[in-house]
Parts: sequence; C-alpha cells; structure tokens
Amino acid sequence: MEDTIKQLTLSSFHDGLRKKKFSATEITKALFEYIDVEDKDINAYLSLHQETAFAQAAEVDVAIMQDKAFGILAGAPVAVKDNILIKGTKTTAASKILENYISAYDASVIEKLKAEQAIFIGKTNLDEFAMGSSTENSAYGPTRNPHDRTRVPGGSSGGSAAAVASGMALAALGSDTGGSIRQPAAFCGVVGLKPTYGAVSRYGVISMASSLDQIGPLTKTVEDAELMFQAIAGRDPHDATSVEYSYKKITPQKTSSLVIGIPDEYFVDGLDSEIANEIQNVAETFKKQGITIKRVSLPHTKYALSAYYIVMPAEVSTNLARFDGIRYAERRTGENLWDIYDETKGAGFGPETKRRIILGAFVLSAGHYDAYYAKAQKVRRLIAQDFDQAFNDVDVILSPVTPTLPFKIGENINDPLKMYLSDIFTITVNLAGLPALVVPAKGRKGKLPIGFQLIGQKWKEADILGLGKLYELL
Amino acid sequence: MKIDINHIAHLARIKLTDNEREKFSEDLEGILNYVSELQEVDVSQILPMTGGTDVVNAFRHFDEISDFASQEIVAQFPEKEEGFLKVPKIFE
Repeated sequence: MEDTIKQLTLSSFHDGLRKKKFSATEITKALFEYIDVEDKDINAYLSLHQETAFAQAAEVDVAIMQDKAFGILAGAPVAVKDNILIKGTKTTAASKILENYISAYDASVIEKLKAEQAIFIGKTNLDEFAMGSSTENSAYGPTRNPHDRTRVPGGSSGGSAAAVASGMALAALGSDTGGSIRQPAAFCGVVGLKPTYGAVSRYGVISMASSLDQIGPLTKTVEDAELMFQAIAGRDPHDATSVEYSYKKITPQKTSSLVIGIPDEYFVDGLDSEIANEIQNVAETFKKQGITIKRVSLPHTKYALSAYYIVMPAEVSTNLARFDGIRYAERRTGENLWDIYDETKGAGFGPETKRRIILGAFVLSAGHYDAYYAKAQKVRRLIAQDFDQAFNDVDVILSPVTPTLPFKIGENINDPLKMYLSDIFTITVNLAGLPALVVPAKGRKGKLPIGFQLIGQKWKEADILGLGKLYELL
Repeated sequence: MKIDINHIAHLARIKLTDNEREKFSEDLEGILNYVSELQEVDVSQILPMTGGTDVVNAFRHFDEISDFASQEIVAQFPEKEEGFLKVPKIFE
C-alpha cells in the first residue's frame, strides 16, 4: 500500500476510486500509517486531522457505494499550509504567538475544496507567518528535504512541498508572496502554481503582504495543479481583489503556436551552471515541438529584490500589528498598554518576523518614507512594465526558479541577505501580479531536483499549464 | 546609515533584547545598504504602483453577513467577560 500511495496523483486516485480498486478510507488509513513513520524525520506536518479525515472519507465511500456521482477531487487527501484557516482546528502560522489559536471559520479555498469533498490530512509547516525561504523560521522546528534530509525543502511552503514530494499527501495548498510556492516546489521536485493576483480568494489566510499574497497548489503533476486551480479560483465577495474567472484549459497540442521568451537578465553571475544548463535543455525540448523561442529583456530585474524587500516588510509590519495580545494570543502583563504590546510581541515573534517588522517600520517612518517606500513602489511599476513590454513579443517567459540547488539546513540562517537572494527569480512575478508555474526538470533521478519557471500573462494560467502538460508528455 | 533601533522598535511596539538590538542594527544596515541601489533608478515620470490589483471600486451590497457565530471569535480572546473582549485600562 505504501508504494501505491506514493505513486498516486489526484487523477489516478480518482480513477482508482471509480474502478473501485480501493476506497477513500483505505487510502486515508494507509496515508496516516505512512505519515506516522515518515514524518518523524521530515517534519512536514504541524497537526494531523485524523478524525475529520476519516469522517470525510467515509462520506465519499458511501456515495460511491450507492453509485452516486462524485467530483474529481472527492476523497482526495490534501495537505494545507498552516496559515490557512480550517474551522475548529489549530492554525499557528508556525508562530509561537498563535500556538493555541483555533480557527473561527473556513478560508474560502477550504470552503471550495470541502464542496469538492477533498479530504484534509493536516496542516503543514512553514516559515513563521510565511516569511522565509527554508522553513527554518518555524517555531516548531525545520522541515527536511525528502531528497536529501540534510538540506532544506525551501520555503515558506516547505511543509506542503515536502509532504507532496515524499508522498505524504497527494496535493497541497501553499501561499506565495515572493516565491513561497515555487521555490520549495523547485527544491522538492514537485509542481507549484502561483496564480494571477486576484485569481484566488485570500479570505481566511493569515495576511503577510496583501498586495503580493496569492494561494496556489503544490502537486505531483501539472494536470493535478490545473485540477486544484480550477477548484479554488474565482470571485469571492470576502476578498475585494478577487475576480470572476472561468478557466478554459488548453490541450498540450494547442501550445505549439505559443512563443516563449528567455530573459537575458535571469542568467546572471551567481546562477548555478547546472541550473542554467537544465533551463537550456528545457528550452531545446520546447523548440523541438515547434515552439518559437526568443530572447527578451526585462531591464529592471536587478532592482526587484530591493523593491521587494521594501514593499513586503512595509506591508508585513502593518499586517502583523494585530498580534498585539489584545484579541489573540496569550496576553502578557505590563505596567501599561504599551508594555503589554511590547512584551506580547517580543515574546511571541521569532527573529525573522521581528527583523521584517523592524525593517517595515523603518521604511514607513517619517523622514524615510519617500526615499524607501515611495521609491520602491515606483520601481515596482517599472518591473511590471518590463513584463508588459516583453509580452508584446512573447506569450510566456521561461526562467530558472532559484539561483542555487537546495542548500544545507543552517547554511544561510544567520545571513538574511544571502537567504533573501534565493528568491531573486520569483519575486518579480509577485511584484507584477502575474501567474507562474514551476515544473521539475526531467532526468534528475538520484540528483537534487531542479525546477523551471513558466511565467504567463495575467489571467492566462491556461498557457503555462498547457506548456507544462506538454513538457510532461515528452 | 546609522539606525536608531530603539526608536524603530518603539514605533513597532516590540520589545527587543540587547542581542536582538545589536544583530538587527547590523542586519538592517546591510539590507538598507543593498536596497540603496534603487536611488540610481530614474522614477521622475513614474507613478507609484500602490497595490497588486487593477480592480477599481470593488463594492458589495451592504447586507448583514453572519458567516460564523460570534462565540467562536470570543473564545479566542485572551480575556473576556460575558461575551465581550476585556481590554486593559487605557485612562486612569
């Protein structure tokens, strides 16, 4: 059974249910048994939802026994990043400050997946409040990369990526503010989709940087990512940035008319040569399918990291101000109200969270606002305009995901700038609000995974998912 | 650039230990030094991009919404009394 569950994708699971090869309960049981052993070492999960999972599985099995129609995600065991609320269960955001927080309602994405009868296995580890690139900033210990357990799984959705890569979930939800779905997908050798800003409602997700945050799937195949995306996309009155979205998928064959651009600025010093070679191989593969490959220029790329590390912490410092001990968390005692704020936050937040709050408070403070925050917002527009320009010539942009292979646990943790550099190829996408898909490069069995990134135009997830499906077929 | 870490920590209402003050001052200097490269970009003709969305005027009907029972939220309060959030005294 362990081999079966490791191989299962969302679509092969659905197929198996339909052909009555197994029941949802059998798979759920096998999965929890496997997690029980495997996760002692990997630490992908922060909490497991056995009771509700079995109840959900039994419901699906009864429907199948009665020959009722069931949806494509019915009974599918899915993991959820622990910054997304599931009613009546703990949501910690991997922070000590929310150690005992019980979700008062379901996030909209959870409501949607519940309507599809997906099963929630448990909540996955992350960098505290989704801030980090290694999952080492969790208050509950780091997650290990299933491909090499001395290395990080990436972050911040490292638990979700590791759970899918090790077969401890068929698929998972993550969130992506600067690469937090895509970088761990690349490090763990799974597929990750960061949707267009506004494609998926963020209601019920603990906000990090609201002008950048999006929720998306981590899966074993591109087809699965498409299934999950279809299930969670669309307008939600609870998130004013979300829009109506009727997704129309395209077949892999239909992608041959697309033009792919490769940005010169993404092949810079510091990019691992093995990764650069793999991206070239991927480009060749697409070329052989009759797809036109062109060079494009995104001239402001080199400023993206700087703009991001001003805009993001500014939003973080305001969003996280709510964790002041008044409405959440254990309230620390103090002489006066300010002492209570000071003490509660000082004791509850980890070092990276504090660092970003301080940085954000600085760039927003009187005397520094124009030089930092206002400037960064203008540079952000230039970065978005670069993509608009490039998309006059090409449909999709192909790039690396990370400058390096998965690094060792502990390697970058004391050097924030070095850690931040691991997001250098993913943050531009968030700044511009675009969709991007990460797919693992083929032929890397026994080696550390490498992913490639397909960046699409707004609302054109179909292009990048179509190309991803084509690559998987070859 | 020299940063008054005590002032910033005060603005953020966050208590830092001596070690944190020292480490964050160094880190911030490094990060601010890195992001100073933005000063070379000419943005005189550029409007700030103030958010991620192109949506304008996203309104909803002004209806009563009762998605969840208030006691589930009240249950999370650190201090409560008769279904209300209890807050520390602000005025003497």
